[in-house]
Amino acid sequence: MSDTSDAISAEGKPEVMAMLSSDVLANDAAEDSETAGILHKSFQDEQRQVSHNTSNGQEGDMVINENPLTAEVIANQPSSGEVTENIPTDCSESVSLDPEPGSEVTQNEQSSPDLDSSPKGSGWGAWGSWGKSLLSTASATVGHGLTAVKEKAGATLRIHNASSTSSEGPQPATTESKIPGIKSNDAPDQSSIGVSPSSPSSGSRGMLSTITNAVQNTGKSVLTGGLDALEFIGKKTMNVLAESDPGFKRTKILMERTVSLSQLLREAKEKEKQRLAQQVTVERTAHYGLLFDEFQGLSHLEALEILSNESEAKIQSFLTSLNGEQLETVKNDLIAIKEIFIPKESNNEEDQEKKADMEEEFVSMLTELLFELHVAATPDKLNKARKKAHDWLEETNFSTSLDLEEKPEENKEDEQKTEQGGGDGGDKTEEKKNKTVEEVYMLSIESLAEITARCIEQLHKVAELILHGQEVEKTAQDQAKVMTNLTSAMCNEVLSLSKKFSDSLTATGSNKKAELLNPMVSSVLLEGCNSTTYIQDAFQLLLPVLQISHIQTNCLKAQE
Amino acid sequence: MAYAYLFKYIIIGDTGVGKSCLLLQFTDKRFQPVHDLTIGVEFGARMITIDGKQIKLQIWDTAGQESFRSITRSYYRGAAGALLVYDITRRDTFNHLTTWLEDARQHSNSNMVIMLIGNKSDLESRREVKKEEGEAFAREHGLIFMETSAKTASNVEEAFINTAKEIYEKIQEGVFDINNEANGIKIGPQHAASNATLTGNQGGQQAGGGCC
Repeated sequence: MSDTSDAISAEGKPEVMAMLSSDVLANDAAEDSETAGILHKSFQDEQRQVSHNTSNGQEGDMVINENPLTAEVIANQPSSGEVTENIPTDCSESVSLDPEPGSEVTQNEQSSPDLDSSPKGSGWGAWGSWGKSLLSTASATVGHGLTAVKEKAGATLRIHNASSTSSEGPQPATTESKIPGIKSNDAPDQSSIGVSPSSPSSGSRGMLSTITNAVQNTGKSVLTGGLDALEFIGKKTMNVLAESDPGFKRTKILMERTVSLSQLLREAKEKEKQRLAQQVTVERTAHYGLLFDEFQGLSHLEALEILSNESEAKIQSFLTSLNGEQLETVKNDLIAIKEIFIPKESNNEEDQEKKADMEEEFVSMLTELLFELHVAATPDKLNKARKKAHDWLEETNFSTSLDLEEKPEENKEDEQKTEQGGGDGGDKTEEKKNKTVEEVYMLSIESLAEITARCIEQLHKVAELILHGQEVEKTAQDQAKVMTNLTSAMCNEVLSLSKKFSDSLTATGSNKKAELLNPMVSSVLLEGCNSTTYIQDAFQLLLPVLQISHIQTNCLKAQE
Repeated sequence: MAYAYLFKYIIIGDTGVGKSCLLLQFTDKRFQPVHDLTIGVEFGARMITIDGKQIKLQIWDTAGQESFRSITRSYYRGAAGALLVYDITRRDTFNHLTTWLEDARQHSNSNMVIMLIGNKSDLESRREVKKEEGEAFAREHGLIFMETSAKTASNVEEAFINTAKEIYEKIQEGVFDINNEANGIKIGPQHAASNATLTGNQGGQQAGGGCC
């Protein structure tokens, strides 16, 4: 153990890291080897084990908290992992109140969310096990107080992340090949060991390739503006809306859920905060969770959750009041809405093209949809946040390219200096530029947090306006389709931005040591990925809202 | 950044009485004469200090329009404090207080501290509701009362802070079970460890009223 971490602090070469990581994986696998042995039966079982890893990551939080870098990764990890599992399950429970075993539709529904969420789940599982084992290794060896060394360990962890992120590195192969050697005395378990560590890493590769695809299909620029008209129309609409009460008879069933998405996120944020409070020196690190909360993302999520839960309770109570044919009709309607909400992996080219088109039309699409839903004030906020991000990106990229053009040779020299002088040379050149790498990094994280918060606010507003119950020409199914498109446009936008941020980081820090730069780049990509998870999760919360809206417009009115 | 407690507040009352302006004045210290209609709920947050302790107020500013009522009611639950606002220049907003109060009491926990606020005190010439009437209503229903002006910032700080003080006192008296987040109170990360023993004792005393 001590050998390994010595090696890291001295050099931090990729090879060493690969060794360390395989060591870590082996350790982790050893811990889970019993479970693995039992569970390694089928593909589905394997997934369950992955989620087991995820929960391990959560337990490991206390240890992990000692390290600022990984804690950030981990703090966001458990929630997203669990949420992707919880929400689809909840949905299927709600609709199939009286499930018929013979119904093909229902079966598809219950199985597909699991399948869809598995790549994400395994991705997070990977982060979790990395963080846990590596950190326990690091802290055991290093002990308290030696923050510098711990930071090194954190940095290598993040570099590892980066290498698995790039998806082409030799690392996965190395991992697998080294395991048998290390665990040679556990020969009977080898098969299960081989499976459990590699599945998370392949999961994260899957996740990242999704990003790359999305990024490749990203349009060059997204339209800005065009919202003035909407705002005008929206304001008029709001005046018309004023004081007209649809007067729905709402049942007062309040559902208490012990664990909710916003709660999980809040806890993650608290942990982050706690860790911050413990830190003696205030670092210039960007904290996504805290920023996300500051932009009221958590509050909107919490409020959306309340609406979602109450809608769900109303649906259930309405369904229990039905029987026979009526029940079947309503259930089929609800299932039809739900099917639109099931995330689909779009692999064919047609879908990809569609995605790219949507990207181009982000604002006009947002405008169109929200016009139909009578949302006036808030697309402006989301748009402003986006514009802000694009503006600073442009500015940074402009100055960086100027810088590179003017002194390409100087930069080369600096690069050499950096390698020899261990980072000192890099800091000096940074000062010449308009923005330092750290500044770009901070701005990236802040922008991601703000835009994500605004996206969730937008979805929350849509939920409120749907429940507000105005006469909308569109059916719930049509609304669901538009919402699905809107959500995927939001996610694409976020991913595209995080890619642009990381590109900008790379350009700004071209003379920086990879050890310093890579963690930032991968952190930005990771937070971009987390952001889309939050948006997707918030989107899933809209399902009961649309369903109850459907019931209220069709069924309840027909009854009266 | 770190806080000892977090209190959830709601602001309720008829449309146009100045709920969002009160919040803006409290969080940003500025006044906006024309404010967009609030859709559903908006949020604000600010840190205050009571008894040397940092307390974060998380404020849910609800839409006053009748048509949003069924949605905003959903948000009442889990609030530790409520600001019930009327406009001293519009008697109808005062007349609706009873409905608002019933609504609030029905959809939130019984210990919620309610502050009655007569807003727009700067518009003395257009006053329709006497200060005494507000005081009497508050006395009758066990509320705290204040007249404020979101425009001049008069009493705005006091309204939010006095509500927090009342909640804080209730915590000290053990009226609020701070372990139950349905009460709208959360213990901050900073004090989580030191409060563990304290809450443990309280939990023992109030075991009868424990949740699930």
